[in-house]
Amino acid sequence: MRNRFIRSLTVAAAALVACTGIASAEWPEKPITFVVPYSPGGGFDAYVRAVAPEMEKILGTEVVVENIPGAGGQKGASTVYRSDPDGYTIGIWNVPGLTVPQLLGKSTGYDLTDVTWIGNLATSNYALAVKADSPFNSLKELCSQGKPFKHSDTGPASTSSVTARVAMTLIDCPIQNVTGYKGSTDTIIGLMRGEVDATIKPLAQLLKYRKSGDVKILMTFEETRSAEDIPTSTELGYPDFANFDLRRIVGGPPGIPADIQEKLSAALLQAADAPSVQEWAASSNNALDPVGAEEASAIMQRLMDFYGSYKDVLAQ
Amino acid sequence: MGFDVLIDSMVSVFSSGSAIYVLLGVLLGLCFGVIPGLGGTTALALLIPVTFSMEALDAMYLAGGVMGATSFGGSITAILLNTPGTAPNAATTFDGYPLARQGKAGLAIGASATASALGGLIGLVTLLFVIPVARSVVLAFGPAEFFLLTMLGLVAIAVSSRGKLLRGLIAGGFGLMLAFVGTDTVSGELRFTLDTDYLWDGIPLVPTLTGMFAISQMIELGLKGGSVAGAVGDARQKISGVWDGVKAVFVHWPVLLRGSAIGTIIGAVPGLGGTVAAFMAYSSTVQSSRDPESFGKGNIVGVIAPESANNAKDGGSLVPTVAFGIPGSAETALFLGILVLHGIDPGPSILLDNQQEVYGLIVALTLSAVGASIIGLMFSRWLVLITYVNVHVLVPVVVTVSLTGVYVLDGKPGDVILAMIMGIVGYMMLRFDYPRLTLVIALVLGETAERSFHQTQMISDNDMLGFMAGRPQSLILIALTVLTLLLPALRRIRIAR
Amino acid sequence: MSDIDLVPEKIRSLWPPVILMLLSAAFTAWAQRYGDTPRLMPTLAGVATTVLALLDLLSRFDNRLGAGLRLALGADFRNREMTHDPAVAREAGQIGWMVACVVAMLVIGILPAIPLFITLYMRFWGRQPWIPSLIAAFVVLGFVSVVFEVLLDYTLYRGVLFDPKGFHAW
Repeated sequence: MRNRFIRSLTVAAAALVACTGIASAEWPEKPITFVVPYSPGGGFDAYVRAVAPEMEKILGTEVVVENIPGAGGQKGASTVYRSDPDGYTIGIWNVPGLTVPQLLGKSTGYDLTDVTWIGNLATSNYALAVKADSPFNSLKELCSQGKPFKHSDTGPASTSSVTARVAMTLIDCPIQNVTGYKGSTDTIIGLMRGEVDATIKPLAQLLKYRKSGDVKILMTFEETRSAEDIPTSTELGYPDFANFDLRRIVGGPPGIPADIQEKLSAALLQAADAPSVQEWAASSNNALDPVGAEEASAIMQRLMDFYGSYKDVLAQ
Repeated sequence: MGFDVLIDSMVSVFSSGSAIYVLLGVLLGLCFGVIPGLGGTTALALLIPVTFSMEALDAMYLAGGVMGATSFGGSITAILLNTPGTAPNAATTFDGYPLARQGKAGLAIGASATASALGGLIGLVTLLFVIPVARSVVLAFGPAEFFLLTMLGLVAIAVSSRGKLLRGLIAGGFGLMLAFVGTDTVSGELRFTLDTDYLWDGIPLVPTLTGMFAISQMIELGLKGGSVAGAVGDARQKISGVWDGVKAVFVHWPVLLRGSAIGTIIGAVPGLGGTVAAFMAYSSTVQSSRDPESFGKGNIVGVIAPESANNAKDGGSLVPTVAFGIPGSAETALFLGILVLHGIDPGPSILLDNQQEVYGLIVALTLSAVGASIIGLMFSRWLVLITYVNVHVLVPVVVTVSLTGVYVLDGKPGDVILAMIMGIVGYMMLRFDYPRLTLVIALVLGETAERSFHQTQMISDNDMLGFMAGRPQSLILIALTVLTLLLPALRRIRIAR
Repeated sequence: MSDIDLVPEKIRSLWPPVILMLLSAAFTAWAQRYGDTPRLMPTLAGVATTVLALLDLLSRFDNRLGAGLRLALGADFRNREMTHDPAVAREAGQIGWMVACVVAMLVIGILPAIPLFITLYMRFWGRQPWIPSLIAAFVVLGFVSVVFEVLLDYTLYRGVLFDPKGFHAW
């Protein structure tokens, strides 16, 4: 274990030497900081801690995971955004968790349109679930019960709340969001307690509760089936629903030189393919969906436009 | 039943040599517990990256060792310096510190060690019995009950303020106001943030507690000078009394049982935590005592009640975890985080899929609860010497170490500033005799109270009372709250006659 | 009334409840800027506290109403937590030292601030000899560096002056 104080002194010295220009040929020549905008022990943290050791091996430099929690992930995001674009600070971003505040003008210190995207690490699809013994068997039944159906959520800005509200607006389905649950698991417990009629949550998480016989999944929000026996939204005639997902996407401050961006992106993809990471993903049920820099940037642009067209719904 | 699995786990801890991780955890937990500003949550958060390279089961042993030991560790400073080492020990200061000032610190530490160990064991045994029905227990309690529980907690403030009812309520009111700072969890709207993103997530608890209890107390001690035990007794008396403290717990076994029961129940409610559990145990003990006036002046029962609740809450906080893989406390949330990091996916079938890890944690907690107390008792004669150290040595040491601890939890310089502001506010409260603990309890309860109130409104279609009337579990809590309010009044009337 | 005379003038002065009343009233007014849901609970707590602070104020008057309130609401000062009564100048000095410690930690970083504060506080506020002051300072520094920097590999705050991120880290 190296003493970080000495290390940060050398880092400071190196920064002084290198401040005239970024010597990208020898990159990387110092440790890389990988920012997680949440406290240790969460999903984003686990993903980063799984790939960081592999990236370390590939890049040949230390990759330090730093948790900067606060303001719903915005504190960490703005820290990454404001850091020097030398490739030594990158972070993992929650999309659309960070997209929506930006669209509503409630974000501080970052702008997703000019972040240097390095790659997508994972994508979670959503699914609609009801209690195992619920009388409802389809979205249509939920929508046509004569009053808004109750949906459980953590807060109006959460990704699943955004998904639920925008999706239901698309098909003119009345919905009442019961917010304030302490976490996404808690929203499922709320569903099981019978406090709400249905909930829209990441499919992987709901599958666990289906396995234990607690919930019934009515449909997934995707184009092709990932679970054999659950119909997709596209099949059921809601083609737009496949746009909704939760992305764990890696990016750095605006203006990282293209060659460094490429190196980082390659390292991220290679790390995601490493046996140790694959094994972790399989056993912990945390699916990976590695996508390179170029495609990630395109996805971000598409999502920005998509959510941007529902600004008025989001503002409610 | 899980007892056979438990015995298997117990055997494997010792045969595999993993007991060393438990011991390491206990020592770390004691150390972090003793130091104000550092607690179990901080210890576990710091350990998460370290456990990455360990086996999942060894990480559980380490985590369990830490969790079980911090609350007893925290009682040591609570008794000796009137400065709770961890927030849940705040209620222990009420009677523990007066005992220390009377030169009876040994008695208090003996009682605290024994009550912690036994309380922890009672909590875990209860957990083992609850495991088969844990799912229905968790599902029976919804937002309506959480709201009523917070009301019960606020009422407990009113009745236990030891002759400071009015100022206790005012402090509680300010605690609530502080709790409402930051993002409103229900509507997502930002409130009272002074335009700084530091306050978006609300007023952080650990810096506030450290400021309120540790910094303010150090300001007071620094002004008083001398040493804590002052001129009381000579240096040789200090060691005695430890065994009397141990015995006192057995003599007052109903207090121990009640404290443990309250700790287990409150521990199982996500979001309330040990501070509320210990406080409720203390207040219910004061209330049911024949001699409520003796509390706050060094009644040993006032140490036993909160300390037993304090450790019993660990067992309780695992009830939601074994039922659905959801955390019952900040510590269990981190414990689940360690599992994710090791490629384990906590969920509703955690008890089937990850039996080894869950029971490993329970075993570690059991060993830790007992082990920490034994270690504490062994060192108690030296620990007590702290009360004879000149406060001008203690003050700068405690201040610097606890401020460091505040920084370490989240790595935010703002937390250090907040801790100091709260320290000065806390000193003002001490000076003008407004109870600090009621502010802190209200701060903890406020968020849950508000959240569950609005949730109950929404799920009952704005017919909260009708909704509660249809739920027996709600009615029981309402009855308990009314009883808590009326008992002291009834007693006062009886005394007046 | 005799029950109130035993308490120092400073403690039972009218200022604390007046300040608290103003604070909670201001908080209540502030809450009205927000929507229906986010302001409901803050308003309730604010109004209740304002009323309680008013009662606190009234209970401090040396008349029958005050005495009645003290008895009925438990507003006397019989069980004071802090019984000694330091002079204001000393209080200000003590708090000043504490604030200086925080400022030092934030400006020059936690590790240098620890020995500096402990030594100076013990020597000049606590009037301890130099040697024990230095010993205490370096024992704590050693403990903190070993536990956090070495064992847990955690970087303690380096201070605005030395942190490459400067104020951005806040």
